[in-house]
Amino acid sequence: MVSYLLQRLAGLIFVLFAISVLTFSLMHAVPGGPWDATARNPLPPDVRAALTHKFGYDKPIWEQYLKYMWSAFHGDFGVPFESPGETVLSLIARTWPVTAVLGGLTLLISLLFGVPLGVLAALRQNSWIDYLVTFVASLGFAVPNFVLAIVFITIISDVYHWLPTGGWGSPQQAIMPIAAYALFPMSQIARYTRASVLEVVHADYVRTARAKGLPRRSVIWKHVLRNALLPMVTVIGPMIPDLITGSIFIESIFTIPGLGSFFSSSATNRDYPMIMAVTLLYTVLIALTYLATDLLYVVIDPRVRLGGAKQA
Amino acid sequence: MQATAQLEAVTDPLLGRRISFWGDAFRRFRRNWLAVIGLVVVLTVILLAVGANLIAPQGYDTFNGANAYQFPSWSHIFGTDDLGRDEFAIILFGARTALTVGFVTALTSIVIGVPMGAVAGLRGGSFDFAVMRVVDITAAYPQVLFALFIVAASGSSLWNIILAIGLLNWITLCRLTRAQVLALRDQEFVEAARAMGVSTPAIVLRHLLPNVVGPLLVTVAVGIPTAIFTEASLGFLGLGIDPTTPDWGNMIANARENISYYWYLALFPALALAVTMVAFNFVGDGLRDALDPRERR
Repeated sequence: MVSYLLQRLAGLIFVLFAISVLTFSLMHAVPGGPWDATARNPLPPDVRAALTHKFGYDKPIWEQYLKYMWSAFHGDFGVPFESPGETVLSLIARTWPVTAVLGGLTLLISLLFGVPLGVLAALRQNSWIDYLVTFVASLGFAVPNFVLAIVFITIISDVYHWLPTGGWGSPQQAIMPIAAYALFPMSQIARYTRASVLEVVHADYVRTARAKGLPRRSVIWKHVLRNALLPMVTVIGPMIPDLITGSIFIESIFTIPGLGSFFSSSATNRDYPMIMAVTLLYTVLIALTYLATDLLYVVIDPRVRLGGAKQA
Repeated sequence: MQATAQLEAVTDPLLGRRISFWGDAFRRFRRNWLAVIGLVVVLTVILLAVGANLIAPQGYDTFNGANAYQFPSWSHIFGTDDLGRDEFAIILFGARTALTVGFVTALTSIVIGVPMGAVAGLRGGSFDFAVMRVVDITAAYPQVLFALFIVAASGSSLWNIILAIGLLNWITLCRLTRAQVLALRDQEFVEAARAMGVSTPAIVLRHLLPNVVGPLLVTVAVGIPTAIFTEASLGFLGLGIDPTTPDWGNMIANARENISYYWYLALFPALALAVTMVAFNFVGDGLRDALDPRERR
């Protein structure tokens, strides 16, 4: 167990290191810089040269990288050029909770609807409810959330004025973004739940349980659902980092002041400190979620053992 | 000699006829009406895209200022945009963009992912280790950010977008091929082939890959709409293909500003995107069910 954990942590650190090098060299290799003259913000060349020198961007790339990593290890991730009045850390501390709440609620809603729908569809296979769930899940799987968001705003806000078009803070403002955001994960969860339950329903031990006279209800709760919902952990786990780092689309359409928009704006603005920060944050979350998923799987399923050790 | 349990022909218990795996899969696909509808829609979209210049001979870039912002009518069934261009024509040519992205990235992910996965699974050792680490890194990289870098570095042409998506999409196929090869390489039929002196490339091509084709096909079928979606999302963020190329994502993005009034300019490209993606997904689901050896009857 300990050696397995160490191995996984070593893998995590390697991936983090590789991605930091890759991102650092890519973002400096890409033409353009944070002080490019724009119509809004024309900077004379000598000022730009001075700024470049001040931030050390005229030094060799490996020296800049080492300096960045050294500061990062000491908790200094720099100052975001897009919002120079604060540090990268305080910007993330300000915007990420919004995104995380949006993503967390979305995950909750998708689970609350997705799992029961999937179970229902599987238990009534080939009935109208199965076809309905399968159809809605296919739609939700395929319709991009920004399309859905636009349709919601057009109909619900512009035509009927039932809900505000955007912003964040009141429950009314949260309904449309969460609904638009949740349809995809909900569909995914419903589809996998359905497939998983179907697989278990036809298993021999379920037939045995029914044959020895156990009531249908208790077979479903004790045998079917327990075994069918275990594999769902591997489906839901990897959804979490994407959901809590935020949908760029949902946040931009509903003007939600979250972290999501910085994934694209930092790159277009060549906001080097912010690019590094959001990339590393995302990578750490992905790696930790996968690790947690694997560990959780061992805890809840006694048949799984770590490190490939075979059981007799 | 290449037969394994799942590809073997079985004998129909009633008719006494031999039914091949692929024949059975075809039969089951045909019975799944959602999949058949999906396939018909996909073929229709392909036909419309190929014949775009026949259906809309005026092209997507015929400007006519006097014609701007026309609501849908018989002469312009999807209306006209801010420059007086026919919305239906742009959507038709946009289908070319979407399908090109979908199919070319599918092709690149096969060309990169399958050989990498097969060799990694077969040879193991340091090559396997290196490939899997590259896969780990690629999997943990934020996709939009990577695409932005490529576009910023080399311009926003159709082929750069395809490069950006293709460089990330191969990992799914690589993982899948590797896992399948690992599961199969120690089985008796492979050992038998090896004992008979079949060379390694021949073993891969004749004995291992045919067993992987089913799952590969499903993954590719699901990967195409995903790539189309990624491309449209980049366009929607204003970071996709340059505005002179007809593109559904760009159309939706441009229509956002005046959506409460000129709603049709957002609705039709959004519908085109959604219908195409739903159709591809139906085909993918149908293939998955049809190629699942456990569901053979």
